Amino acid sequence: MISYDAIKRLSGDLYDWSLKKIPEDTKVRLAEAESMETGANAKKVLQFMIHSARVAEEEGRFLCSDAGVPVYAVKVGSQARFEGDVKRAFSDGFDELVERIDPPLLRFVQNPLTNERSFKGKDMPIVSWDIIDGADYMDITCSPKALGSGRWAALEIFVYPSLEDIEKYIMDTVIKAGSQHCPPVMIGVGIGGSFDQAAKLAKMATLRPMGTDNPEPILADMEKRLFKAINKTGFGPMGQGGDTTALGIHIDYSAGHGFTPVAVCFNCWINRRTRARIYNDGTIDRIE
Amino acid sequence: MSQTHELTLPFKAEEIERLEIGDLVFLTGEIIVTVGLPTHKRIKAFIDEGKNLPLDFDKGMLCQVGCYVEERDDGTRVCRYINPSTSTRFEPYLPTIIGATGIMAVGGKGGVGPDTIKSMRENGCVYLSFVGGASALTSEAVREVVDVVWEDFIPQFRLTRLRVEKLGPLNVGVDVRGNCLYTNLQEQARDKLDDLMEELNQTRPASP
Repeated sequence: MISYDAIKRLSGDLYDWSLKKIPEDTKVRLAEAESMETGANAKKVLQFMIHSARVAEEEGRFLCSDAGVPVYAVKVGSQARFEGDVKRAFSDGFDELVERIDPPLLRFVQNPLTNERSFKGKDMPIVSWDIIDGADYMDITCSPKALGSGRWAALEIFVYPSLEDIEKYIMDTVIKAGSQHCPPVMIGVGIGGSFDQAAKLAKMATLRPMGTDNPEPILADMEKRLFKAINKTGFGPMGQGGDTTALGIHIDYSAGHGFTPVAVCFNCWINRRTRARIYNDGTIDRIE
Repeated sequence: MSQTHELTLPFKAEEIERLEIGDLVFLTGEIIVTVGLPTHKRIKAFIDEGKNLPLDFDKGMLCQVGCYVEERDDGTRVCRYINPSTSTRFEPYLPTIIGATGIMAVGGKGGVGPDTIKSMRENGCVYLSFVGGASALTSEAVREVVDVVWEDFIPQFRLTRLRVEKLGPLNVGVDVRGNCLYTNLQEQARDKLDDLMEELNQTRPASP
């Protein structure tokens, strides 16, 4: 049985870890980018980022003290069995982390109607739920979101767009964001489905490990071409100017009904993401 | 060609005038940090009401940087981290603050809005952008917590004076002539867009 206590602890830990360590694939991409960057100052900025991330991980310090708000993507195995409340375990896990994390988190959960800030709020943490048929575990990804990169996400509804229309919208969104979202960024794109589905696809696309192939050939090709084009825009790391504006772009799609939403979102260079599975027998497998 | 500068605070006007957008800067001396919107609002209110600010801003630097100062039992104060925030959020307050306090640099990340750039040009002030998300290494430059005022705010919002050594690299985002690195990069990217779209069109496989 997967217990309330185990989920509470793990969900808090996943958030904690995501604030202090960048994912392995992101480290690899940053190192590649640094070796290929031709801008002298851009190269220095990338070296500083890589060095800082290493210090944060080794010393258990914050990568960025603006911890964002906790966002989880949870997949529940249809054979998973639970003991105690599951949803409450996530909100209690966050409350407990606020108490134990050192140094303390910035009080950042904001009520958009009153601008009051606290550690609590309606629908906090933000959790999206999915089902994995047959699995005897719960798969939890934590990917916190803050204003810095969060504010530049965009969505537009097209009617029977061409691939060119879609690519143009992505390029326009990238140029509008410019160097505000702490580049080099991880870009997620969702095409089709419905308004809500496209946004979710875009967010989930950012979670796909870098270096993995898109199973849809049209999108695999689009990712390669857009990656090159975006890195030719010249914004560079932190707007220093240079060849490294994006770490990657991942695109996903859903079938829909002629009206085609296109959603684009960004993760800053620290690309906060952690993931673990918790099994019916209580075993925890930390994936990243 | 971009240069790297080592500057000390309080600033000298000629050193600030020499900075060009895209240059890198390392700073030694005392800076003032706060990441609070209400703090900036209060600074502006003090200026508007003609009241004296509790810290001396003259020839200094005000940073939109969050800082957590821990007070130990023995009364000593330790800075646990510093970390930049998005400066454009503070656009309603920065032009007045730059015009009235004598600061010669604003620090944060991502750049500032048009009114702030205008005020910088008029007052001989530059914008220095921190590397976002690099709190661990950036914080190592902090040597001392010199002063903390307005303790009615949460720690990260308090007006805090820190002594730093070789803080950086900071990127010159706006110079005293009103040149803005970020606006230029955006214009250059827009100018390239037609060519980039042409390249995307040329390389896209034909639809089945």
